[in-house]
Amino acid sequence: MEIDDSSEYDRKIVSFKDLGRFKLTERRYNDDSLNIYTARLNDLREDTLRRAKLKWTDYQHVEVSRLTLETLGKSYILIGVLYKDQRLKPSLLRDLSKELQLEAQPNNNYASVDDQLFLEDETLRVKLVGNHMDIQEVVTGLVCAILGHELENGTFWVEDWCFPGYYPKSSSVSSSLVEDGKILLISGLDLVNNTDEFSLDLLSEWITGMAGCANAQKEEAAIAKVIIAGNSIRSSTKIYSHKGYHEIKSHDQLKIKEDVMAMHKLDAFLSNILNCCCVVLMPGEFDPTCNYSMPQQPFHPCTLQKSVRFKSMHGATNPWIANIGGRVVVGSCGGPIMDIMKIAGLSQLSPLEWLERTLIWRHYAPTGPDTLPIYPFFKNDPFVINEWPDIYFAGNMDEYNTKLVTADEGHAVRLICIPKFSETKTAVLVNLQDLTTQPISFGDRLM
Amino acid sequence: MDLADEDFLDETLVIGEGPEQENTSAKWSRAPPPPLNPKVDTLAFQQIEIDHYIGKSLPGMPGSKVGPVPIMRMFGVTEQGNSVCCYIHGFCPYLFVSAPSNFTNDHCRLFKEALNQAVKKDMKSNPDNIQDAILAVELVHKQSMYGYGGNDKLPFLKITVAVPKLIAPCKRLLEQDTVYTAFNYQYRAFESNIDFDIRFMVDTSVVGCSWIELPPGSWKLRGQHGHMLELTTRCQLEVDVAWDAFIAHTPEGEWSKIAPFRILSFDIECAGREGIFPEAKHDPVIQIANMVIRQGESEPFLRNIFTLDTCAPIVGSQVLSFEKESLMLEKWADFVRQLDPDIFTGYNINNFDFPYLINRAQHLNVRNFNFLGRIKNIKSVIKDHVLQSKQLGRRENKSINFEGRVPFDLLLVLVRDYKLRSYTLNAVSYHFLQEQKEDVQHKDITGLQNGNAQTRRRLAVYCLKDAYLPLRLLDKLMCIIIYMEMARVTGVSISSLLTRGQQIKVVSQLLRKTREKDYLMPVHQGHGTDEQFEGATVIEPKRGYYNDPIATLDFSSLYPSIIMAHNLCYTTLLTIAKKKELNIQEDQITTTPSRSFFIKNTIRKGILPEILENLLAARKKAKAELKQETDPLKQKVLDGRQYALKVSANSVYGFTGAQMGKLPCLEISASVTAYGRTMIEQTKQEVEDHFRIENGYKNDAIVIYGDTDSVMVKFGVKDIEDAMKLGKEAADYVTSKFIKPIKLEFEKVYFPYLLINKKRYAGLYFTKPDKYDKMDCKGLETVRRDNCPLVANMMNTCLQILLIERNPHAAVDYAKQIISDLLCNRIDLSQLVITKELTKTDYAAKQAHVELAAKMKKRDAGNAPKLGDRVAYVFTSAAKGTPAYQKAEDPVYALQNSIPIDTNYYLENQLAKPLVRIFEPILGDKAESLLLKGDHTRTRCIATSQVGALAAFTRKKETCLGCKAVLPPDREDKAVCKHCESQEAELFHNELQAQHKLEEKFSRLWAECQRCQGSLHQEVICSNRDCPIFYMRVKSRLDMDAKIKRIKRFGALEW
Repeated sequence: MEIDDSSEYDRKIVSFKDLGRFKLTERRYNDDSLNIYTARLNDLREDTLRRAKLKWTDYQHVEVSRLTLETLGKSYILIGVLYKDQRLKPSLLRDLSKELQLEAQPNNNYASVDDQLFLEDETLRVKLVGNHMDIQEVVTGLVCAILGHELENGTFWVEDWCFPGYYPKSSSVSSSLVEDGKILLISGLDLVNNTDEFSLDLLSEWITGMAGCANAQKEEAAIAKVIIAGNSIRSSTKIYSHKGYHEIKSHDQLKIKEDVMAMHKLDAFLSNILNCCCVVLMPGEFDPTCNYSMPQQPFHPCTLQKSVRFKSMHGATNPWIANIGGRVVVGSCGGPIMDIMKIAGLSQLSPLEWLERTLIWRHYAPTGPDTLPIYPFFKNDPFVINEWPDIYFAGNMDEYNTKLVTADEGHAVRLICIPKFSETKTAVLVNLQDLTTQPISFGDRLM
Repeated sequence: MDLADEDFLDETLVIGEGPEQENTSAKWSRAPPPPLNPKVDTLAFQQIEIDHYIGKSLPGMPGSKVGPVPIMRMFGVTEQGNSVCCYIHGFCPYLFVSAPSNFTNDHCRLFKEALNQAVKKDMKSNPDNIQDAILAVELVHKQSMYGYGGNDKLPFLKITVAVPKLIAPCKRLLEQDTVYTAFNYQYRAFESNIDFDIRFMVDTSVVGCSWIELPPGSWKLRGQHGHMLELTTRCQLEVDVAWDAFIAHTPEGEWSKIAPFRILSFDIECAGREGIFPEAKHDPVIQIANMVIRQGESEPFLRNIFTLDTCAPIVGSQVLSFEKESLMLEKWADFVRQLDPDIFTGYNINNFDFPYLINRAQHLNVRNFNFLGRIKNIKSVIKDHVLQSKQLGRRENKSINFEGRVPFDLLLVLVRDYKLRSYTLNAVSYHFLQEQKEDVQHKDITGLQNGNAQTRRRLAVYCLKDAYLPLRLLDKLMCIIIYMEMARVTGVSISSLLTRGQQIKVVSQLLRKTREKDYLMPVHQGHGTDEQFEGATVIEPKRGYYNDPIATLDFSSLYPSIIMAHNLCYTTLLTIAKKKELNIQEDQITTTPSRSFFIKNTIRKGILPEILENLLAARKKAKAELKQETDPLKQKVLDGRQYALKVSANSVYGFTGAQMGKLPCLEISASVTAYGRTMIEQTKQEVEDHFRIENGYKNDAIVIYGDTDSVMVKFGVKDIEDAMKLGKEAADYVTSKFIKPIKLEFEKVYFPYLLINKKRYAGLYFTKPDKYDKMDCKGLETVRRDNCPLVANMMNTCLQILLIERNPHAAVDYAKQIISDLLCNRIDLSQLVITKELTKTDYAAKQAHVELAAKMKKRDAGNAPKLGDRVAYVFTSAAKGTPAYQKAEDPVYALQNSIPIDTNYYLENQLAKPLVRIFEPILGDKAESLLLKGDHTRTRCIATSQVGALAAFTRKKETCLGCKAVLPPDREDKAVCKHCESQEAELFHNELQAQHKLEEKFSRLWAECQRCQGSLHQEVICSNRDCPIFYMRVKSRLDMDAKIKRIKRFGALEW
């Protein structure tokens, strides 16, 4: 390896602010009114209606329950939350009644041709019929405006529909404030199962500038933040059947031992990088963090004893929003997108396309709390999109994919699917200035 | 077996002046009928209800011309859905009495006059102004059906009377007094105890729910074409016809179709006061939800709800709000009249909804509420109605008259036809539809009602769901179709199937046959005897766990085929005296194993065998047609029919054994069971003698068990296919040894087979060699009602492991784990809940659920269970020697106060017996000690109660999360003690792991309830205590809070 001693690169430093939207200060489970849907609907109703009125000028908006009082057959606009009734959706009740079934099959598709669609507002639910709407391309929990008319049997014939759309751009944000620098996105280190130390070492050396030529080092030095987007410890859990308590118990014990070992490994890995670069660590679906349901809270400091001493270390939530060098960066470890794909299991859309749709739906995790576990929010829905992200990513995808989306007002957003590192050995480098991306692979083979 | 019912309904009617029919809503009322001209048009309708009344005779019609006459009324619906009331004139009631042998036609007139005098004298008053009580006396030659007496017919008098109620005095006077002095003769009455409606149906060959056709010129349409008779019903068409002028179609081919009957399902909600079950005198009816469906359609065509006070609108349902309750009730009754339903249904409408509405309306003096039937001026009145039947026990029901409409209460149907753990709508819905039902407590109902239009809508949606559920269940269980087919097969009306016992079905079939063959049915004086005859036999089971295929051979329709094979019947029964008198040869007689004699069918064929042959042939035909049929609706009808035919064939045997019944004949029933016993023994003998190594078979066959109509054979082969082959061979071989139509059939192979005891076994059920059909369990605790769900679930899983995985060790391990889980408090509470209905508060013996109800009442009267509610309870630990009934506790209370569960009680009183029972055949005598006393029972966890005498003196101290040692004061805010510090990370992950599971459960539970209640936005208020999720929800919330506190002890989450 050739090293040019004369050149020295300073690590880029960019401004950083964790917006902390998904931080839970207090966790309570004793309220009956699980009303996140009402909050969601209230947050998005106005914008949805505005767009609906632009789209269909001459129609009147009514509450679902007022529908019967209006003229039958005349078309109206309804606004509510979509609910998809799916037979294949996992049901606790069904699981209980067939406890006997000795093996539980992991189910990656909840969709079937028998699915039915409903629209519901605070007052009532109405069944949506007609072939205008592709039921496979929508999911439970979306706020939506529907144009249509009531049929004699009490169902609602859909003529057209409309989602809240992109977040309206506010004029105050200007791109001139954007700082120069890059961020590196990684996800799915899967330290429990990933035995390939080589690529991990390579990654760590590359970040810290111990590898590569001068040019490479120059590039490396531009990395202002490393964002680790979930599933650092493990990226899957095996589903164990009901049978055999002891079996489950010993499995659990083993899992905990593995977790503890992997946490040490992660701690070592991080503290190595932290010497010279800032790291943001997001927990993932299968990581041992303080909670399982979204939004997941940061790793507990006591589990990362070495890394926690560095100022350059930051524990983040999942999902997470921050302002990095003037760019709004939003992302999750991929759970919401995976869940959407289960609900819309018959659709052929790619994860990236779903990611784009969540922007139009104006919601980061619409399928919660129906199929995606979500902390029981009582008064607000923090997952409603209230900002215009510049960089929007989902971690733990099967493959790398990206797209620059330009919204109506000319504002651009960089969508990124971060691949699982353990499987693809790939990280993604994003330039804050021009929003270009570049995958970087650390395989032991030349690709 | 069944019954001894019989009850004569109080026939007094309450007459008032009903409101005129006015149709205010086109959506509600039926489409108008097409114009009809009786001279040229045919009118066909399916009748659903037949009754009669006493009225004036109509000129031009047969029958008596003077005085009051009975007039039959048939209510039905045409294929277009128009309602019809058909008056049938000229049919008169009659009875038979035996006559002296020298009675001639000349005596008839004098006899008639004498009897007429006597009957008129016997009448204390004559409100109907009957002039001729006796219309005719006719000498006929017939035979009694009871006992063989050669082929000579004997003289009988057929006495026709003016009205049905004169039959009883006629019989009494003739049997007890001397009416006609010309003969000194003891008259005996025949067929005097037959209901007039049944008599009519038999004589005109009308079966229940059949199609009636009125040919052109035979009928008259009221209100048109100069036939200006008064319209007395709310039917669209009222027609008159003579009793011998209409065509009664047998329900076959085209005429097996079903008319589009209107079925109204409804549910009411009442605003009860705290702690008291709603009473009509005090508590208002606040909502009535209605769903109307046409038979044969899949969705209701009308949904509406009547609400007291305002109610926000509901998509798809009409909301009718009223300020005053009395107006709401008045309008509802009006709605029913306009809707003109043929069938009322709902859940418990007979004993709750209808009586409540009627009583409430009476209390509020609602105008015209009671006129709910089809006759304009007859009020619907509540009567108490006791049904005594061996099959169902004594049941007190209310009955309400709705002339022309059939009240079809789903609850009564289910109680009659299905054996379930619980009959609440929740339980039933879960059982048949695998759906839980949202359940709102009375207290909450009142709360929602007192809220605003939105909360009342919430209630209305709930109420509508409760009205819809019975319709879905009716459809799923095909109740209406099965009952209609049963009515057609047995020839009685659908309402007598619901309100009467089994007897009437057989009587109706017997009468139809006796009429054909000139037999008469004697009147049996019902008196119970203690005479017992031996029941069915069982071959002593060779208990054990068989890891070989066990072939099962069944006698198909055993009892009916015995009756047919041996020609057992009333008409073939021979007494020793008669045998001598008629000098009958031995070879013409069958002597049954119970020493009774019956004539062989070469001399005379019995009518019971004939009835059964017809039923079984019809069933075969229905099954064949079912295979051919492609239309799902017709398939349902045929399936309903074959089921009805099977049930009917089996009820014949029961009829002959019912000692309080219409015509018991112990000689028949005792012979049938005696034959059954010997046949099982003989089958065992034949199989074991024939399938032997000497005869070229690989092994000696052994019959390991035999019961009523089946034997289990171990042929010694290891292959299912071989066992099936041998099974078929054995069935054919044994069948050839018996008289036709007795047939032994090979049906299934059990492999493996666990034979626990008499009537208790389990096995994997194979009908084809490659894949099992199901796991079959008989007599095991998988369905018992008074167990907690844990027992049933555990037994099921154990059996699955035993039978499907064939791994006895794993099954034992699993059972041990469950026991260990139980003792360590790891079992979900919902698994331990036992529920019982609170039927009365003063049982002689103290009962757990009654004691608990009293305890709960003291705690909070508002939430305490009321009479008729189901009480859910768990057993909690208490001081030694406390009786079990004092240990019962409200599960929710136990959860919230972490009252420890009496795990020992569950182990010893719930789990132990069934477990030992299934494992004994495998483990032998060690089973009990292995299962109940092993290592796995040594670790126990006992929660500490937060209530109770000692709780006040205790102070909770934090313990180390690792070793559970009490933490010293300086470390109380830490998670672990000094010694466990090194493992802190591991312990922390342990907590996280547990928390993840809890969290996942928590969110899935809420998502489930939101789905079940059918709304994402509304809060979950369900408190369905039959639903496991309800307890899990309560527990999961408590667990979450506790877990978060524990995790907090590891330090704050700050970066």
